Amino acid sequence: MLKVNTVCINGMGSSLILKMTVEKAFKELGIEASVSHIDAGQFKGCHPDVCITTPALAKNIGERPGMILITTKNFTDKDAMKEKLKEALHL
Amino acid sequence: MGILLSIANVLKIIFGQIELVLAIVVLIGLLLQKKKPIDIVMGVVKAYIGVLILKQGSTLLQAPYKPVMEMIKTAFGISGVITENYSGMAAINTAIADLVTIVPLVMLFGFLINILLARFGPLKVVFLTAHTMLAFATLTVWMVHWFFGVEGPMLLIVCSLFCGVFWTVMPAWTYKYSKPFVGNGFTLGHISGMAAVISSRIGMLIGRYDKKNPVLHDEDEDAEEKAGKLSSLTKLFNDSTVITCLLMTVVLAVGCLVAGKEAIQQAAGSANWVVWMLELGGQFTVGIVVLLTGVRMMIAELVPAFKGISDKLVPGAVPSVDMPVFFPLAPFSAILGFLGAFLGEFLGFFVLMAIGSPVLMIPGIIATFFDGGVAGVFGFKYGGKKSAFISGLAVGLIQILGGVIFTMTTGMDTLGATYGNTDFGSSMMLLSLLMKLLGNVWFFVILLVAIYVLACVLLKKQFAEEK
Repeated sequence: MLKVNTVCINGMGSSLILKMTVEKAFKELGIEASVSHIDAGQFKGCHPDVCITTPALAKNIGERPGMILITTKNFTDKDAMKEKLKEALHL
Repeated sequence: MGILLSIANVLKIIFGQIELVLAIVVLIGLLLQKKKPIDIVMGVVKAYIGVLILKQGSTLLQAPYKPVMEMIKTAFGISGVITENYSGMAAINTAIADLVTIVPLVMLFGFLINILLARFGPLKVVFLTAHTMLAFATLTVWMVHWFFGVEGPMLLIVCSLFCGVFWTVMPAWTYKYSKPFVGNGFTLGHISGMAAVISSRIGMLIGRYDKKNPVLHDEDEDAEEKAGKLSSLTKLFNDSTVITCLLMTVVLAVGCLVAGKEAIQQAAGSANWVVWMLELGGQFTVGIVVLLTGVRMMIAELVPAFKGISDKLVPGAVPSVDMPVFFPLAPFSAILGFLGAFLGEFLGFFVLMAIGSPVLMIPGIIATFFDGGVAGVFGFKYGGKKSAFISGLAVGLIQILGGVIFTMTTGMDTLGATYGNTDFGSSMMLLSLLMKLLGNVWFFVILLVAIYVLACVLLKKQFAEEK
């Protein structure tokens, strides 16, 4: 199962909304994933397979070996998220 | 009769504990979503623990700033007030501990009223920012109780209506300004809706926005490069723990210093006064982090339930979400907005000092930082870079100068902490003055209905176009 983190500044509002969008996208793609949301500060201690966040926060997080970093500007668009996931996971 | 009385007693005890009430609300939400039994158990326990953590956070949060406020009070006779939502919420929780137990129910019924209004009324928005709902529901309990002295079921009904109307009208109002550049995917659902509205108006003014030929600004490559130059600043702004700690250390230390060394030493007891003073900001941040951890745990169970209910009952509604979703739409302008808001907030602070206000609003940073970002984005979209900064500045000033009127009218100044977002310096400030003027809870109910009807007339247009 894929471990996925959605990240925002406080880890409360936006990342939770994003989490729900991402969960739906994974479900429709038929991929099993456990998605959890977290704030940028605590994310340093997390080691997910996929990290989804905004372009600005992605710069803070940076690329990590073995982790797929996906950026998005729209937190509620499930179909766009599906496309992004397909591309990033080479489906 | 005896059994009935004891059942009533048990219910009274359960509904006297906020964590139990919330656990029941979450249980209902999870049952409605037809979750598996194990998920229901996990969700309910997490929500329950979340509220207990939140309570601890409230206590931790108040410990560092209360002595500073007392020092200022003894030295100058001025009431210092921390302008930050969670501090305000924590203070209310302590002040009227027996009344705030209804807050989870206010959230639930407020949300259901929001859903009903969206289902059957013209304003199709649902409010999904649950941490804000928690803070706002707590505030309505304080305000309605403060102005009208109501308790019990009446308090619950009026507060729920208050929340339901506010959570429908404010996002609908921001939707008017977010729709041109976001579409119907989402809008702003927060107690900073006025930041978006005011900034858009300022943008339109400065950018000479033409309604017949609307032009919206977009950030170019150039802006991205500039944002790159500011990347260390962005990095700092994107970590709320660090920025809260740094700025609150300064704010609280300055607060101590104006009261003088002797006062600090007295409050510090046997500890070294300098170290004690410099650690206050850190302690405050610990309180915020703990409190937010609790809030996060508790709303992680609530939001999906709310979303599930709204998807089922109001399929086409626009979800109203938290502020940072707007930042990626114009990241550089968001930073300009932050900077403007900081400047505005400190300017406002010095204005209060200069005019000798009996209540001094101490900038609480968190609201400044998020509302400034929203102001930057909306200001920029309608009027370009200059208005991003000026909108931020305006929002900062409103938070302090409008906020002080709100704080004094609602009696929050007696608590040592108040709410910080832009709405409290603008729309809520006017509302609180009206509440004081009305002085009767029934008139207030009529006022709420009137506000909703007026909002329907003024704002239904942009929802009608979609069909």
